[in-house]
Amino acid sequence: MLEQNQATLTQWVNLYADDLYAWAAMKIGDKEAAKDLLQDTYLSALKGMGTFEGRSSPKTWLFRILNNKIVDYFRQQQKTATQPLEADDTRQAIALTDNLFAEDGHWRPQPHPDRWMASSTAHLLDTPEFVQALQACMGRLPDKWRYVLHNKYLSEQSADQICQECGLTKSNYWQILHRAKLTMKVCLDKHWFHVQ
Amino acid sequence: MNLLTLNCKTATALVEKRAAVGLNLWEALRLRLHLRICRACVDYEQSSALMEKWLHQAHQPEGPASRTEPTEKLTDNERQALLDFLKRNR
Repeated sequence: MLEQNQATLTQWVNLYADDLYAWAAMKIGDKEAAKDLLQDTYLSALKGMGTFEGRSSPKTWLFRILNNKIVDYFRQQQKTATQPLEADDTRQAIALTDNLFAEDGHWRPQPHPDRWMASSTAHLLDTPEFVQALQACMGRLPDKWRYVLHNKYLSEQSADQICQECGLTKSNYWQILHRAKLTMKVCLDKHWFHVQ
Repeated sequence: MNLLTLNCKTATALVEKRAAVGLNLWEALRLRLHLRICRACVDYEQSSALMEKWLHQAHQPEGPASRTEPTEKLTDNERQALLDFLKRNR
């Protein structure tokens, strides 16, 4: 049995290790740490081989393990970073989003909303340059907000779980999502829709 | 201030609250009324839904992000080291 598991795992390393590694390196931006996560992923897979029932493909299963490791990695980063409650990047982003609205809370004029509504937006993700712009805009979010987004989109957690994970109240959570979306919108307006 | 009116900052926040955790009846009513009269917030609502879709797909391992980013590859030595490590830990 052990021999068989080992053989299967060797095959999975040969088939999927590059894809898993590339994904981890892109998500966390640190090649050495990505290699550690890759190793941990395969180790977990080896230990959990008995629970893999073949309901999903091995690749999907391995990616799910890896994504959990990535979220763990961000959690560690978050813990070790000695940040004041409101870091500078967060304060700046809050000021930026506040500035979208006038004193009475109504929108200041927005640049070209029509470009967001054009039918071409449906297939924007097929454009590599757009995906890069999107990634860049995510990268510019304050660390804490990006951490929340990673939890939301990378792992299949409920709002309650994410709040617990990130140490947020529910109000904090949707307020961060609101600010993050506004910030992303400003960034995409500037770096994508403006120049199109 | 009329109890039914919302400003756009609050209305757009409620758009996100609705998607993330849901609204109470009172909030839902006020948001619905606001969206009926405010074009800019309807635009935001649509932009937000688009971004939701993009962010979701951009986090899928086999989604669009994996097709465009420069792909890091393991060297043969690194791959072998991984295999040796797993052999030691079986």
